[in-house]
Amino acid sequence: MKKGQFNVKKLKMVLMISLSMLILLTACSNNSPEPASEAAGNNQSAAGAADKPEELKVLYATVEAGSEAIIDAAKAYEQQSGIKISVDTFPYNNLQEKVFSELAQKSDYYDLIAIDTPWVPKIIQHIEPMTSYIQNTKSPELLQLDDFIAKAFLDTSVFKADAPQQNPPQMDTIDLDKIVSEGFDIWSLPIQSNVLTVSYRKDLFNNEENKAQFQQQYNRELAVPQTLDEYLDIAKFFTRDTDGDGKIDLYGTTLMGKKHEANFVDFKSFLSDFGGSIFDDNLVPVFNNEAGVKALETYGSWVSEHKVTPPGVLTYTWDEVATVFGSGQVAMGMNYHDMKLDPKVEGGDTGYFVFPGVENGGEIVRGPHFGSWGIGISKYSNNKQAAYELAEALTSPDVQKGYLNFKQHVTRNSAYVAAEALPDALSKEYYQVLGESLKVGVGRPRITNYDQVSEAVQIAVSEYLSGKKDAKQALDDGAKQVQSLMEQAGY
Amino acid sequence: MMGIMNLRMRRFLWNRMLDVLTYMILLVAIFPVGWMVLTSLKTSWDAQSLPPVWLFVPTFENYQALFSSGSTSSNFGGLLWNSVVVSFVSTVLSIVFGALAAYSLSRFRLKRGKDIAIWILSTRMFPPAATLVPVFMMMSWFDLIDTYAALIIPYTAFNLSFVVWMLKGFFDDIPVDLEESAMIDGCSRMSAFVRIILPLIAPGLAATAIICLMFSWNEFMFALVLSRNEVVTAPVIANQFITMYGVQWGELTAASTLMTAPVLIFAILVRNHMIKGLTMGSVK
Amino acid sequence: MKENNPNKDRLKYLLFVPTMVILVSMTIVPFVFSLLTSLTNYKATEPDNWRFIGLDNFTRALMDKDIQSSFVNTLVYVAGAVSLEFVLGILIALLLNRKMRGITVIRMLLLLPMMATPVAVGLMWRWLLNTDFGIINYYLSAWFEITGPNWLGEYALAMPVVILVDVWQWTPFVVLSLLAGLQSLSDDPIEAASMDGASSWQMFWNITLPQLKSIILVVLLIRIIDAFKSFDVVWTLTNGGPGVSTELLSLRVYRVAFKFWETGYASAISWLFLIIVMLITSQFIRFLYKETPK
Repeated sequence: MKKGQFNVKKLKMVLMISLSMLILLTACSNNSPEPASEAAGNNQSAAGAADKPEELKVLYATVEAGSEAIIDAAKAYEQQSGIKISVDTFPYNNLQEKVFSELAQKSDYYDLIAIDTPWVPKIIQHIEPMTSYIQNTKSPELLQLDDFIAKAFLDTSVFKADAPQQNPPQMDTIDLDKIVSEGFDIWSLPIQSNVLTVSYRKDLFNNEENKAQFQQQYNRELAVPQTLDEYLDIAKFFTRDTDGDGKIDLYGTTLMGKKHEANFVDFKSFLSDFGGSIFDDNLVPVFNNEAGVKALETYGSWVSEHKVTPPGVLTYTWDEVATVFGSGQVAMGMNYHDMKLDPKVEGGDTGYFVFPGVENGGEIVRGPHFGSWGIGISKYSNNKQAAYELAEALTSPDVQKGYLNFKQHVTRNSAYVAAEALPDALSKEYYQVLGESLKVGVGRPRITNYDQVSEAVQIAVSEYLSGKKDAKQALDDGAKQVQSLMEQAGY
Repeated sequence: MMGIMNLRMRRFLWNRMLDVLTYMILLVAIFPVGWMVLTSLKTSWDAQSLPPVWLFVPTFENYQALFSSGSTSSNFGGLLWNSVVVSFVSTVLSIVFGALAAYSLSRFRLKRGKDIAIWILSTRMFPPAATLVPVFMMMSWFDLIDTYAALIIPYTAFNLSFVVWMLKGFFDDIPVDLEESAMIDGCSRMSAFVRIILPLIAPGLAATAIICLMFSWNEFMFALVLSRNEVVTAPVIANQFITMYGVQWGELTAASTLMTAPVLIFAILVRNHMIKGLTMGSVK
Repeated sequence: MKENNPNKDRLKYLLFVPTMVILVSMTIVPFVFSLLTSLTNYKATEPDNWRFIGLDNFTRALMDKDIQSSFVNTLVYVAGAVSLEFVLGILIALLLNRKMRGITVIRMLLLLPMMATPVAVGLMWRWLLNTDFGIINYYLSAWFEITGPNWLGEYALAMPVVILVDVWQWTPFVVLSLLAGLQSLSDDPIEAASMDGASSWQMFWNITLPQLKSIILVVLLIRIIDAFKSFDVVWTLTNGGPGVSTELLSLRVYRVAFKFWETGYASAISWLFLIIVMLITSQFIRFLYKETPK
């Protein structure tokens, strides 16, 4: 037994030693970045090859940010510049975890990183500001800042380093001097802009019988709706039993009702239409005001009162919407890309239009949600200048024209002009709608705790939709929660 | 005579009823997986159509699409290989290490043996999300990110707690006199362990190994964060078929089918050890 | 059974060395890290900007409405899922412990639910259960003229449905482990008892079950711990919704750690999580140690 005790002591000692060694190890390597990786990162010869590294590494999303187009363009750039470009793509659902882990560790592995707009406030200290690179650009013909769609550019890329929540000065064309003079910096170049648009069944809209019937019922022509009210009329009109078996098999529209980010931005689009917003200028939550309640009640009434949506919409996010539209079960569907019909839907034909608005004083207010991907330089990259040049090339006017072949959601006016000459009528129509939508799109709150706030609103909306609370109550509770989250985050 | 016939008859009927019940349970268990495999052989339009398509000409286009992907981080063949390496190595390590520790816990009077056992189990109780950040830090300090070791070590650790406790359970259920009589016959402690005890719990070993393999094979979160492009495993990429453009059911189910098959094959390979007859023979 | 052989004494600790090395190296750093950060407002995304805030994270977690409701949800989930899995698991294990044509194949196929990738499992079920294009509701309406409910969209239904999916996925684990236990049993006592004319139920209750006690307890223990941690399937099925009806503690920890990046707060919640799981499982552990012959 004595012996045994002795061994336990030994064991304890081994444990203690290994523990303290680990702590020691961690402690020293924390203070001084390890030489090993430093050397590996900087293996450029002293002969001044510093601005031309052998390889640039890009951390990118998959289809949501148009990876195919980017990989294709990266290959072309590789040929042209002689720098090897490797693009690692990770699925959007978990890209945030991946990107944040790399940055939190100050890893110098990746040079360029795809950044979703709402991430910026939280990781701004890990991104290299591009302003000075832009001011000293060697290839202004690739850069052409004034060609970017101003609204998308400002939302995606322009932030104030120490106060990212501030909105940049509004302008119709990007004016670098003005941005800089007001204390803002440019943190990325927009590479793909997603915005809520409506895909609809052109064949149903153009059907003579439908047209006549609609004219009779609603006393106006069956045409692309401009307001949410018109949209609802059309949705009600198309919600019907088409094969006469007593069950409704065609619905008016889709919504994204699952407790999910998709639901937050869906609600936000309605909210903007009604002139509301999540926060006021002082970051006080105001989405529970009259506009907010109106927006939520309208949103909910489509599901529960008018029943113009398929019964399952409370479990929908973007992918279900695409599926249900594709199968021909809805006349109109809202999503962030050009939805396609299953070829089995006989005579099916698709068209697109801009998310409808709400009439306010003779003017139609629209606020489809938009969110863009920017491509930014990691602060820990050892090849920042080269990385900048790659970012510039990947978003340049000519390259963006090439992106049209991949259906990339381009970010430059010139690319949309080029899209007008596309041979495919459907693509042409989509790009036109996309371009118009981007000009009226509304971005997200620019706060470090975006995900918390989004989740609180999702819960509020979800509790209303599933009948747990009425709209006012749900939004009030949500606003209270958001208020305390904002206090916690120090706003 | 009639009584015996009746008894036999009843037993026969009872057994057939149980057979039917077994098949019904089997149906419920495999239906979603079977549906997955069927879907992987359909064209994307057939996959989503209602009424469901049951009869169709199988197509392998989904599988071809998986293997034709260009970029290094998403070539499915490579990913599968990474999964194989990571999960098999970590399974073997955790079974070998875990069996030794479990045997010691089960058979010897250890000072604080119970505390050690509970500590081992408690490593499993911590939410993995909370350990991911520090593990990522550790791995970058040792420059191990994107290497096999970065995945094998954590997976082995996660499995160890399970292996130690499961095998301890199996060892505990075996009477001590078995190896004691062997030791009286002149076997050393270790040879009694290897020659008598291990064969006895072979079904347990096999079951435990299957579960370890499954865990490492399907683990997603650590694989995502600790890999970049060299050692990305298959589950990381399975997620990419769920996009805002809709779920690519064909490719997703093809990928899932390919990911399920190796574990099933492993289970089939070790199935003989899960049956009593073969292993008991050596003891009796 | 008292042996004073020094070799044996050394051996019994030697057997632990590999396990200890791995476990210590992989867990001490995370444990210490999370213990320290739980006392700070540390965020992994702002590594240079933190201060000690004492036990604030813990009091905040105890007051946090979302944590409270997810804790209740987790208890319901774990209790529902594990008890169902356990009862079904024993019955199915007995069912499969018979002689039957093709029984080995059946045993293998029955493991499929837990072999399939969790992400795919979640998605497949989300698809099958979909109200508008899922085949479950399709056949309910085509064969039985029933309008299927919105399985994952209704407040009262979502939790039972995610529990049933967990049962579907993890009952095979109980079956596999108990079957292995049954297969390791010696036949002698059963044979002796059936000579004595005991009924099969008596034999099961008095002979089989007691022999499997340790493994049953271990399986329960592992299942409880793992059910507390279940994540992937619920994440894909409902993302915690509708409202907060299926938000589990494990989802909450993940959200706080990897979506909100409040590393310190996540550490504090994780320690509370650990304590809760410890408290709940300690009863089993005590029982296990009391019952195990030493």
